[in-house]
Amino acid sequence: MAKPNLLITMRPAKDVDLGRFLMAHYEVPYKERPHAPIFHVFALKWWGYGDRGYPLFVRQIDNAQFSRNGPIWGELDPPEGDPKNLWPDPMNSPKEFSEVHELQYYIRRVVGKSVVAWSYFNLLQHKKVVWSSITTGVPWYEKFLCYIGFPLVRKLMYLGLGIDKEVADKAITHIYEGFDRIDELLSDGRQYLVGDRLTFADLALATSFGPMILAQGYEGCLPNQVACPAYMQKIYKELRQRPAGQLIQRIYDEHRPAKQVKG
Amino acid sequence: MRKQNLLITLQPSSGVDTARWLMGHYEIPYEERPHAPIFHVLALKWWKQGPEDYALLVEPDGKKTFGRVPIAERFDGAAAADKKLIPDQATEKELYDDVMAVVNYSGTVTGSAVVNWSYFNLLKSKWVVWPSIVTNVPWYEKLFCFLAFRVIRVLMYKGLGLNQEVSDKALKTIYQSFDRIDERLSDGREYLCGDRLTLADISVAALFGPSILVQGYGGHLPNQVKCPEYMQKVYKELRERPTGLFIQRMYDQHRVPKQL
Repeated sequence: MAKPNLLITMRPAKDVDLGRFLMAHYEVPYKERPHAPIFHVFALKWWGYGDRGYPLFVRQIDNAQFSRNGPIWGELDPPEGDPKNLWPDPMNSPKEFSEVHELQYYIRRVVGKSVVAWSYFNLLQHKKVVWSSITTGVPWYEKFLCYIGFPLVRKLMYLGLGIDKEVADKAITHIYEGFDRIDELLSDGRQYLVGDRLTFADLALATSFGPMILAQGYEGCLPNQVACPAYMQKIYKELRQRPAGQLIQRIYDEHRPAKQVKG
Repeated sequence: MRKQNLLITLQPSSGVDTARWLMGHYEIPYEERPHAPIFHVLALKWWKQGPEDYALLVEPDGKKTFGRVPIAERFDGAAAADKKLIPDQATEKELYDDVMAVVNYSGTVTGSAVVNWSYFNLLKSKWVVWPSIVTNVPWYEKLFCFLAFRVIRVLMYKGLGLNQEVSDKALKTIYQSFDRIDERLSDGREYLCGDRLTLADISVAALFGPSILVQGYGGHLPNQVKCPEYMQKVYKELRERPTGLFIQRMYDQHRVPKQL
């Protein structure tokens, strides 16, 4: 029996969900090996990559390895004109290409960082709330160590990401600014962020901003809203009803192939 | 003597979530005592009520009210004008009739179909349905559910008369219900009856809610990605319909947030 393609991941990460989305969109079958935060560092080290090297796609047919999303879409994105194409051709459609490139950078690298900071800082204060996000499908020993050493995992994550209350408070301001910018783009009634079709920018938006509306379909197993503190619920509810929030859920509902997460 | 209102519930029930919503809306403080399916029958029996008499509200003076409409009626009369959910039968008869027609339809037709389809399919997988049936229930109920989940499932299938045929029929009814509400919303109205929030909106949101895995539902619906793929397809499709968007909007704009 052929070995499956592998996707080595940190379970809750937004860029991991982008990687999953890409794999599903390009119809590349794979088996995910999810890891809990902190433990993903050891897993990636085992494969020869640094702590930010996720998701790591290991293709079985030639054992080629693609670390992070850039190399993944670089390898899998078909030419413009193919219905699966997500990146406009820089030569044929330079304007669209630039828009997608600039937007995805802003969404993932500028505002996305704030989503990570605000979400982890607040959710990690409640072990039960964040439990399924960090341990679903991970090896039993990671789950066990997270269970007994949760305060240590939290401390290491706070240290590793450089987050505290002040950073989280600043982050939520950036997040609202991010939603403002996307709302403004959508105010002309467009269905997608760039052009009249799904592009990488839409996938970036859905996965990077998805945790701010607790998007259904995000395979990082976001918490159930009612388990979250009331102040977080207010933010989720408000952002979900904004045009950007509606687009995020629509991208998941209409473009993310359904897949059952086990564990 | 107790100083707190008690709400005796069956954790995942959509009728119960309507009651939770009403208590939050009318700003009536309460303590919820949730029970796992089957065990709720024993809890209600202890309070000298029948197996269907949930959510059961027990006030400090011992006064008991059960069911979503009676609980709404219990508090609506004394509510401030902007909190009233039931139109006045004398002065707004047409609106009252319309609201109650939607309330009854969503409870007897759609609510039952959502229950049948959801329980039949979700109960096939213990880990998918686990948070819905055991969150915050007494430890011994959780333990029994853990050890004897199959017995619980058999009893629930028997009690509700569930099988594949019933489930398939229920899904058809759910789609027909979405058609009806979509049609009502097609004129761009913000609320189902009249121009303000009524019991009709809350009933549709809570009773249809499990069919889109609405966020904010107090009964701990499963995470969509843990559900079987054929269920995910239904959730995704229904969520993007006008009724699905309406349901989530009602929860986001009108449900008072509470950490459970």
